[in-house]
Amino acid sequence: MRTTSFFLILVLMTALSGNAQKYITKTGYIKFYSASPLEKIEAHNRQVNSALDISTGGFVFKVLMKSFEFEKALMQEHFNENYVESDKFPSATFAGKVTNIKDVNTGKDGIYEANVEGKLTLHGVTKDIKQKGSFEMKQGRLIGKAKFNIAVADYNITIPGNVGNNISKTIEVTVDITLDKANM
Amino acid sequence: MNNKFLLLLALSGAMLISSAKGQDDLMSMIDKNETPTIDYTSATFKTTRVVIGQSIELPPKGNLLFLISHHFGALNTGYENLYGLKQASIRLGLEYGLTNWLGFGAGLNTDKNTWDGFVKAKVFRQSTGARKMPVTLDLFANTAIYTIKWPVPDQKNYFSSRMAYAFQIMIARKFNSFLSFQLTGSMVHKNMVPTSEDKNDIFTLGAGGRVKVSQRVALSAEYHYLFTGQVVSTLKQVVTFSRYS
Repeated sequence: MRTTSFFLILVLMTALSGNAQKYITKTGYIKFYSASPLEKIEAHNRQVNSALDISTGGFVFKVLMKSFEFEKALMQEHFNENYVESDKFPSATFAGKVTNIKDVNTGKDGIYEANVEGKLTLHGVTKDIKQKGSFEMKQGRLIGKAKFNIAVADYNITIPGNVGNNISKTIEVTVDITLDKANM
Repeated sequence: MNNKFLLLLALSGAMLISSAKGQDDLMSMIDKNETPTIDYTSATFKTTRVVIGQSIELPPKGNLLFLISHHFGALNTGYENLYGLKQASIRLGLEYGLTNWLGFGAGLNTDKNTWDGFVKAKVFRQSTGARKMPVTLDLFANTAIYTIKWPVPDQKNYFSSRMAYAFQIMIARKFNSFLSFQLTGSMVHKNMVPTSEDKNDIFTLGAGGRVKVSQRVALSAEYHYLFTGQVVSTLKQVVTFSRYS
């Protein structure tokens, strides 16, 4: 009976103690870059929402498409109106896992390689992605970085022929987020 | 037996709680953490004009637009006039966006060599999210000076007779990405009119809209109703259409 009670308490505590292991931000940074022969297009988003669960490796992102800022206002308008259709699909999300989360030692400052896989939803299309990145533990904060390419055609984004030379078919995405321990 | 049952219950309960704390839980956690933002409606119209009349759009902040506008004659003037093509007046204009809510511009129109300057300001911007506003409301004012020789050189002519002013209030709503609609109230004051029957103050009520038929093609139309009895000697009613891509 005593053993059972002990197990009971232990199991419940494990189940309920999740929050202490979570890291979160709402000011993450994502850049995308399209290099083509005629034009270089770059957009910055500094309002990226992300959360990471250290105990399970669960890792999510949410990005409002309208928060991407371009150098030229017309690029931004075309991005929202013609390509990603922000009125219909206001945000892009990623829901997945850091598969080697056990390698990240939150107790010790340092840089750890991270393997991330999960589902990226953009322009209403969900695709499985698998990328490498890194986590840097620094004074209690967790800095996540990654750089990868996505093909616009995979997400049903069509580039008309007459601007085919202005927009690259693969977009380079740079992620740079600083996660803080969630206090809730 | 009883103890084992309790343990099983506790384990399954714990597993339920754990799985609920998966990615969905993280997603709702960031949703709660998100700073509420004001989502301003963009691209109600493609340009700063519905067709020829002003739209509620301004040039983007820090952007200079160069516009070449053609105002054709009436369609029903027949082949001899090439259905209005021959009466085109052309305006060359520059517009600049000073802030997100204030723009100004100037232009030269071949109709009586008229120079004009204007300011346009957004008073309300249609938005959702942290602040909800159903419509965008703009105010517009311009001054125009025609610079051709005096039509009647023998009489005493005053410089002020060359001047006219226009004031507009525009209310627009983008219902969805497919449909935008605008109402425009205008008042034009002409210091000098051709005859004594013509009014110096002229009021019109205009309506215009945009239908986005595909990702890259939109059709626009507008009509400004001129209330009767104001312009007697040179009456024309104009409906305009355009296609933007």
